[in-house]
Amino acid sequence: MTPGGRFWDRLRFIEALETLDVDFSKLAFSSKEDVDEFYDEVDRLLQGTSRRWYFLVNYAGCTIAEDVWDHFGERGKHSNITHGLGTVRFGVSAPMRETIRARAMLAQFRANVFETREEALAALAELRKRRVVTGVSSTEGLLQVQDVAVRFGGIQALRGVSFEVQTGEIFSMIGPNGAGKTSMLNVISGFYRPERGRIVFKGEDRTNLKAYEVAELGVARTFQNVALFKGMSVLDNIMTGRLLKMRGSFLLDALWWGPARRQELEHRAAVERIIDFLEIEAIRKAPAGRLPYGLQKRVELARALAAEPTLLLLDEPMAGMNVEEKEDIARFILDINDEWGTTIILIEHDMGVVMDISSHVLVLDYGAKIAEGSPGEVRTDPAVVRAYLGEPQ
Amino acid sequence: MTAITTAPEKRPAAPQVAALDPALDTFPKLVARNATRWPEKVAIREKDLGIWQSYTWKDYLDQARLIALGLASLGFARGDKTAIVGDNRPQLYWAMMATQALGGVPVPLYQDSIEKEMQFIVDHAEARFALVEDQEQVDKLLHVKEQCPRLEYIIYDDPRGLRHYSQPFLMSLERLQELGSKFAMENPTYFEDQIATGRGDDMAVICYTSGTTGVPKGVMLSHKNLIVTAQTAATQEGLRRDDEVLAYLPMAWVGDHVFSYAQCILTGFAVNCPESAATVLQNLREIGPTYFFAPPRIFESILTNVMIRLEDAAWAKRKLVHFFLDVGQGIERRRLTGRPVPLKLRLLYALGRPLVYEPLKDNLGMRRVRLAYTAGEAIGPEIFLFFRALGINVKQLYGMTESSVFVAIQRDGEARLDTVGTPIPGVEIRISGEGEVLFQSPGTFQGYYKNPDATREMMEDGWVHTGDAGFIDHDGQLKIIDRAKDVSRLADGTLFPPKYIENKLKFSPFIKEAMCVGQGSTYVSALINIDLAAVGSWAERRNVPYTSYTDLAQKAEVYDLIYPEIVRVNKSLSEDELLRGAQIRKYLILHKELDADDQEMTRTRKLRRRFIAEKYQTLIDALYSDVDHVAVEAKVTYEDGRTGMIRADVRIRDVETLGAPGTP
Repeated sequence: MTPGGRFWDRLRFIEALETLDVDFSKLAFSSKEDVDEFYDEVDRLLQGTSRRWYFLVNYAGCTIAEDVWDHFGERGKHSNITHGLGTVRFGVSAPMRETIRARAMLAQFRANVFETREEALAALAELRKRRVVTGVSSTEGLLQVQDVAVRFGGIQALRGVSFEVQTGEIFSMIGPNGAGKTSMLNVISGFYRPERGRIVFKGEDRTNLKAYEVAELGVARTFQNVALFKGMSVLDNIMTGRLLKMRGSFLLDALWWGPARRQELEHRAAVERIIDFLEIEAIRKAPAGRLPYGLQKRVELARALAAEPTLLLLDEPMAGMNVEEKEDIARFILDINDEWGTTIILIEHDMGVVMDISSHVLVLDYGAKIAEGSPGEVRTDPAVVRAYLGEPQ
Repeated sequence: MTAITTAPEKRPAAPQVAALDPALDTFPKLVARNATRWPEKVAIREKDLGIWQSYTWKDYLDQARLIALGLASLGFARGDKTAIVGDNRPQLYWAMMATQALGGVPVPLYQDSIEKEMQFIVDHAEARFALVEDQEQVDKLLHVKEQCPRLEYIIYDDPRGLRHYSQPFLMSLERLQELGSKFAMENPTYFEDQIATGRGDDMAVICYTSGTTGVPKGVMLSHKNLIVTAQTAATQEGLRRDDEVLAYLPMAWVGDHVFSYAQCILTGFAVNCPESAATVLQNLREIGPTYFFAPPRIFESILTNVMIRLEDAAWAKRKLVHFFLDVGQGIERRRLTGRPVPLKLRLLYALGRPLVYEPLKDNLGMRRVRLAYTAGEAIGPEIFLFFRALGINVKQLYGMTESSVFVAIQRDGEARLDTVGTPIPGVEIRISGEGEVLFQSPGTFQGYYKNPDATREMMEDGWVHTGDAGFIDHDGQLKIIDRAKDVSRLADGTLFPPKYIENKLKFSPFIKEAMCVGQGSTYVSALINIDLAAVGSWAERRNVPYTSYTDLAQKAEVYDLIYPEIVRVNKSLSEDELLRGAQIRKYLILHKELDADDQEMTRTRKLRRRFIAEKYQTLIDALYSDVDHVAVEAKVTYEDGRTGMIRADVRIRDVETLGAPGTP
């Protein structure tokens, strides 16, 4: 960094966090030239390191002129894509926050706006951890949903919804009943074919795949009303989750011989590890239909995990549970995300849970996206409060 | 053998016992012997990934060797302590032996200890190393590590959830054993040399007893203490190498240390570790142990479980089982009081075997039990009779941490309901002038760690003061009445042994815990905890709806249910001239269960009377006034240490008392 450049004391590398600390505080961007000057310097700086960085940006007291926003956004996006691993922002003023969010919804980037530097650093740590676990940088989204629309006769269940899910994160979808959340999961898992739009999973278009083909790619899901095989034992139910991984010949399986036996034992070991993980050893031989509701949901979760998914879709996993049971399931979801780096899309109504464990939240209402962002951003978004969280009387 | 004296006399030190063979006077040496003599015999099993994984004595030694060498490579010195925390796991038992092999002392802690308790013990014991089971224990220790300045390393067995922890002093057991392998290459005979340096008088373990009053005390037991006592009991009771034991009681409790560690190593029998706390009863069925210990409340819960399930059975089955259970209990009652058993009953019993007794025992997993013991509290007569009637040889024993457990055991054929047995060889028992039980034994502890005052108090003039009031009956068996310092008197001088009365109350399947108060007052009253399972099941059958424990506890119907139980106890008390005046006049049902997490009980479920009396002062005052209900608030501590409040309106009921038997 050439000392003496206008911005050199506003840019600081924090090696230990692989982060470039950018101080926009009290800066004014009033013309396109200002923006260019800044970003040219930044690009030159980052090029010199030939590495990628996270960005921690302090916006306190920063002003950006109305007509300069588009250009500012363009340059920022370019730097992010070329040199960046992810951005967290803090100290954003209220009007600027509105602008950033609106742009995030349209342009499909993460706003990642936080109140204080501490919160921003914590979020940064999460981003880094997920990258360490999954080995994938967070600019590559695992799943991209582009302008998906679904109609049932006269009912428009989804109207052109777009969003992106990053690898290794816990992504929640919330919204009033009938907003289209389960429909969205059904589209992602290949159960519905959208009338318009694309689903891009692991970089390739998957829009028109059938459900079992999607499952083979590493997507697993649970259902809103438990869909276990009631007459089978818990162990057998979870074993069915391994079906796609089983390669067997009818004859060898029937004779229980050689490779068939070995495979079955491997699958059994994998299932036992999941049973241990979800702490359901005591009920492994019990018929699924005789279990209390909360345990049935846990067995559902186990069955979904048995497929070793990259993406796990959970449809209201905590419905009908009391506080303690919800905490247990929340803990398991966090453990799954932590231990195996599984990306999780969660539909849930309990706001407390959603705010606590999600890294990113999408709000649907009447089939359309009305807000998107970190839990903190969404909680205070006026549109969300109006539609879903309730107006203060 | 037993001397009934009332005048305290000066006695010489502990009775002479044959000296131990120096080649086998410590547990590591004994394990080495086992590995040579019976290398292929199964020593310990664990249910992992759904199947029972076995480890032989050779495996035991090899694994412990790697752990020990790993510790040595981290600088473990003779005399160092290792804190051990977790459920019963082979790895933790190996860690104990590894510590002892290096001349160190393992300090086991209760796996459900809260952080404050852990910090006290780890710091007091000056443990440099901690070997724990899983993330839960690691997290607790990490929170208090600052306050344990001597703690240097935390080693964990189950890596789940610990992948991102980056503390340098934290490592997996796997890694520790890798370090051990490396250390072995440079020091090939280190392990064997260290073991050879050990002596019988070295400290083998420090078991902290959480006293009913005051802070926990570290009971120091030497190898000799444990080996002599455990071996004497094993020989007397006929333990065999092919016995099977289920290790389900906490490792921090001296009983588990004696059954699952000391006796296991001495005799060579196999110890089985259950999969998790929730699967213990299932694992009991799978293993079918031959040597079984349970405190009375576990026997009671097994019985309650059977009775509840019986209520759901078909009419014919129910009638059949009840009939034969009565037959069995009738026979056992006669046998225990020495009366002859008529032929008809004996024939019925033989018929009952294949129909009821054997299938029921099989269902409970107790078909192969040759020896079953209970201790710690008085056992309810129905429970004792139930199990004996099935043909399970349940016997009572008496002991404490400070005596390496066994002081007295009921021998085969001498099982009785209200006594705790005769002293084992080498133990002498005496009753002091105040009626306190004193003993001398080769298992007597070496003292309380860093607490010479308490040690002195406990061991005056060579005899250990048990703190229990009791006497030796005409058969030479020891009978325990109550904790000596809890026995008090009412205002009119009537003897008031609270635990004695509480035990009678707890014989009822509906009453889980009870505390009697009344010292210095005009009458005795009781605070009752109902048993949620039993009363809940009863309520469901009678269509009495309830939402929670607090709600159920205050139902009028439940008070009505408990009433006759109290009258039953009063009737029993009225038959004893000394205790007639101690009948219960009022009772209330507590709105929350007494709990160790709330400091109301110890981890072994002994009541902390003074603490409870303070905490529930409002309730006790109400019991001694004229009100028939009182509002109360209580603080509760959840398992993660957070606190909350429970509010309730508690009823108070009067109970009739009876005059002397025969009077109207």
